[in-house]
Amino acid sequence: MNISESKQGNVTILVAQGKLDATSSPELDKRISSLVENGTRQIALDLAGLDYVSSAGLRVFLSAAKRLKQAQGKLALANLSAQVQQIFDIAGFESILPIFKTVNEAVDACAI
Amino acid sequence: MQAKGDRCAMSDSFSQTIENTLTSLAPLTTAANRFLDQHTVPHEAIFRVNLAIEEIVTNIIKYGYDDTAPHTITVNLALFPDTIRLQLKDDGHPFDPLQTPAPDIHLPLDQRKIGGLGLHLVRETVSRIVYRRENGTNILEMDIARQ
Repeated sequence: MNISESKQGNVTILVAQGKLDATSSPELDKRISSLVENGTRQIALDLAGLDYVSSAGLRVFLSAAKRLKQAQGKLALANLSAQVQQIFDIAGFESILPIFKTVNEAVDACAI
Repeated sequence: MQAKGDRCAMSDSFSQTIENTLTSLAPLTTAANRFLDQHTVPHEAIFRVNLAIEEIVTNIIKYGYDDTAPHTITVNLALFPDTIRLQLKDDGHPFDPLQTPAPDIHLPLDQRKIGGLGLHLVRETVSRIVYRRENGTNILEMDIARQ
């Protein structure tokens, strides 16, 4: 899994690429935790390059959303592939996580 | 990581036995994916096979045993024209994943539990899932649509 980071205004954009599975998910989890610990409150996740996600990956998104909500921050996701979207649908994540078609929309949603 | 392979490029079946350690998982899925790729199984189906292997094997390794002794888990794949049959065998305590209650996926964020989604994802992405216990072994068989 590859994670890269950029900033647009106050919003931190994380681009996650590759497989988000039991082996790689702790890396993304740590990355998000350390951002939040260091004061980041607005995170947009660009998942265009994410070609696999399991429950271990879903766990990272769920705990990130909980952590940011608690810290009065915002999390938004963008660019889900059809298969990743299907996994989100089965898990009922579309009702608890803001999911957008484009990164710009996700950034705008976080910035509000 | 003492994976025992029994693969052949022209064979329509794949079998691998791994130790019950989480580090065995990545080499197992890599080998299974190589086999599926060689047989031009579509990416969407490979995704579902990976998901079933990861969720079930992880579950067995984390919760399947009442002792700390080394155990093995066997993963078999067989290709049919429309289906991939995945069979997992382990000698852990009896566990029927079909009997676990489905998580409530309609709860709001605050009430959502972290975890508990793995078996739900598998049950929803396979077209058939059957469990049986035979001679002290859990046998879970799943059919995954090839298209």
